[in-house]
Amino acid sequence: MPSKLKILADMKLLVARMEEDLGLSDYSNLNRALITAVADLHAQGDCNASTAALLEHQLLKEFSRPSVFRALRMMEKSGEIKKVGTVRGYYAPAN
Amino acid sequence: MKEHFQNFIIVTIAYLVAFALTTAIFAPIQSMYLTAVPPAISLLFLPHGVRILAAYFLGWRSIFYLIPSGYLTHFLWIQTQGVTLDFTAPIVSIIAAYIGVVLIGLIPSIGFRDFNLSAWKWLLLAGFLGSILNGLGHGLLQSEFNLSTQVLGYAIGDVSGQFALMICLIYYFKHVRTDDVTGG
Repeated sequence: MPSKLKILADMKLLVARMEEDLGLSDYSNLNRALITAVADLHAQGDCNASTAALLEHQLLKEFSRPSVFRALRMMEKSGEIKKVGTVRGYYAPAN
Repeated sequence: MKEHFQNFIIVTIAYLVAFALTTAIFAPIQSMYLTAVPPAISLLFLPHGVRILAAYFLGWRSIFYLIPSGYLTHFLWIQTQGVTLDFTAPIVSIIAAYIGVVLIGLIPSIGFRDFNLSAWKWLLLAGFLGSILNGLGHGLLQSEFNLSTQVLGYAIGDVSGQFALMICLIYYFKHVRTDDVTGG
């Protein structure tokens, strides 16, 4: 029989997947808000989205800084957004 | 031995809480607004979800973990709802749930403990299968049993109950996560 920790981890994974599929996940809300904010800033005056501007963006105000940074890293990894320019902290939609 | 005892306690508490919510909240509402539905059938039967999750996570041992709470609630159900149920009904329900999970696990490329992608959908299907088997089993045990109506009634109640229980789990884990973040 699997250990208690393994069972708990499996149960959390199962529930997280269900949460995601049903659109109840806070994480996907953050992702949606983040990609929209990046696209919004990117579209404004044809510039790229800076981290500072993203943190101040109306759609992202309700999320904590660490959550936004974590989501930025994950979305960059998954190829949904990309880093642009020579200075750190600027993002643009991948497409 | 200690691990089995802990599992037994967790499963028993989960089953009893699910049963208490079903009888104390949903059953009165159902009897008030859905008078045509026989009292033996609950249209939102949360304990079925506990049976399915226990079978999925704990395997065949879940049958033994569930028997005491199954019988306790069986007698309480008979008392509160005034229905007649066969003495073997709790075991039939528990084993039917386990078989439902095992049958879904037999589907090639899924595997008993490796449902992976959207396991919850497969578990709902396992719950549905288990419920049909449960209904058929009860049909064999009861002489006055309307097979089509009652099997359907069990299936609706069990699957909706399982779904509701899994939604409760989502919010439970959400709550735990929030507490972790806020340090509560």
